[in-house]
Amino acid sequence: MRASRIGRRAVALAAGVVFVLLTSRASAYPWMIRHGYTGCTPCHTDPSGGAGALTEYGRAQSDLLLRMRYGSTSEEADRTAGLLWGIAPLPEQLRLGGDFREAYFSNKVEGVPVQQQFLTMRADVYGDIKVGRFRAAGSLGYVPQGDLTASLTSAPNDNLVSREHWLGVELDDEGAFLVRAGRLTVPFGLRMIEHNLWARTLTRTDLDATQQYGASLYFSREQIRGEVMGIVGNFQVRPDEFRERGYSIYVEYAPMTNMAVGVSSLFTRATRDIIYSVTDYRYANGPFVRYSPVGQLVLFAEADWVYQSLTWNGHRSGYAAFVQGDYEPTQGLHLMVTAEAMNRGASGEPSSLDGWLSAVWFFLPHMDLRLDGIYSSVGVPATSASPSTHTNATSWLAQFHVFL
Amino acid sequence: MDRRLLLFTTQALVMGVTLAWPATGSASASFPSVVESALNLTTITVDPPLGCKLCHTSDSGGLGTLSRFGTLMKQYGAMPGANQSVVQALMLVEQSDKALIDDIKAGRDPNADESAAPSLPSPQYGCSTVGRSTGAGPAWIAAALTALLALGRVVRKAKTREDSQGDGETGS
Repeated sequence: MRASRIGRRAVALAAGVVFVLLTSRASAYPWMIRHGYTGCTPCHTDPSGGAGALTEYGRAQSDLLLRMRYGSTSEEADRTAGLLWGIAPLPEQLRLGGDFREAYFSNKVEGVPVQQQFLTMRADVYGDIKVGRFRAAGSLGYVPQGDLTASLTSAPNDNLVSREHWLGVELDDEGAFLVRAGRLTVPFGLRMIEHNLWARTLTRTDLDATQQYGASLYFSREQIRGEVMGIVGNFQVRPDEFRERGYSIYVEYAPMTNMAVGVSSLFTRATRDIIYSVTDYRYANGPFVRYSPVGQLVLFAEADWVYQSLTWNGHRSGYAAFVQGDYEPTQGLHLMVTAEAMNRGASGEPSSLDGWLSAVWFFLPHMDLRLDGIYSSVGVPATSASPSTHTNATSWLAQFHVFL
Repeated sequence: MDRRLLLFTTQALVMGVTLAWPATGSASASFPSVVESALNLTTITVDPPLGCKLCHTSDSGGLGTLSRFGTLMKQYGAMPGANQSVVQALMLVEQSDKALIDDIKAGRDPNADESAAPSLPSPQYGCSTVGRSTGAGPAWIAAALTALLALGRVVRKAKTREDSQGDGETGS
């Protein structure tokens, strides 16, 4: 069948693009809410979490709460929690780090030969310095393929990237209010390590290459926190007409130490959309939640409505949503189930569905192994010659991750 | 051997292997079936069997990899994920540059044909002093930063006032 053949090729392309885009991942573990951490500032130098260096406290928690302890009951963090396993002590004001993640990827689309390859997902170093109330942070990395919108160099492959670089000032002694400007991760939704979730790709708010230049205010007050950002475009893309301008905001309320609910909103306009090449008014809005009903289980959910007005090319009203359950039977071992749904809003496009089964083992200080099995049923829009259809694919991803 | 030293040596070895692990590119295919159907071809004639290089400079596809013919197709409305837009773009190319469609039908790469000269601007990536914007960006950042600082000041004042009131109530 020609329709199914087109569908298989479309899914193969989508998988290829996803995993080329999947050249990097940052550390963002929102399941830390199960330990009573509703916010990110205690452990991350980025107050909204996800990207950048860990604080000294965060490094200690990575040793005490993140990795497998093999029976140790010590309440003191091991010396190896420090930079480079403790061999490079730093002053408290200087926070440095690095992330290296390698993977083996296998993808089988029905009717198409299996695709297998190694991926360098992340090879970044980053730092954050705090002098009084003033802050400066940045990252530098190498990407063999993809992440062009974060590139400093301009080759088709093998580029240097800087995902974030900003200057900021804390407005109070506790760091509960931070104003910063530069290239920032767009404040929207849940900052999950699974940056290729459809909720992240459709809203263009992942941790890898969709950062934007602009200025933001982070605020945290008792049970409420959030960040609002004025977006002035990605200055690592030229010419100017491809840059999106607008705003993004999330606000999260934590009524209990084991639960947080929030909403996000985003609007941008680009004279030429980087994908569609026409003037694009892009809207995204939606709620999200984190909840730990019992000690070892954390549930996440996010649903975003995305609307695009593409000049001379009509409107697209779509959505992306996911639910994830993270169960930690013993410290350092996480078993996860994720379900997703998505529709990009193209004419006649049926909704896409997928499911993930994942396991992560934080087996040594600074190191973890991860295995993902993903089954996708991707909706393929109708053509003049064939009706809409679904194409199925099964993917496996084995990862090794080390942070400095 | 000291246990800590053994642990560190193991970690260093694992990290070394990781950093030395080679990365290879990906290969995938997309619209070629639509091209086959629209042009009545029995199989893709350019860059078989995947056919991606008809419109991309590599089989990986993705942002920043459009070929000259791909850019021309985009100029005529071809859009990601929309097969019908590819059919329409091929029809428009056939009307304006029939030689390019004849190239495809004859198994020649239209990207090598000098008549494939797209005028649509395509995005470029990386830092450069060439082709910078009009300078509106930094002005926007300065304006937004000023506004946020002012907002932060208001918030901070309110917080201070609230804290001092709270202290007063506690004291009484």
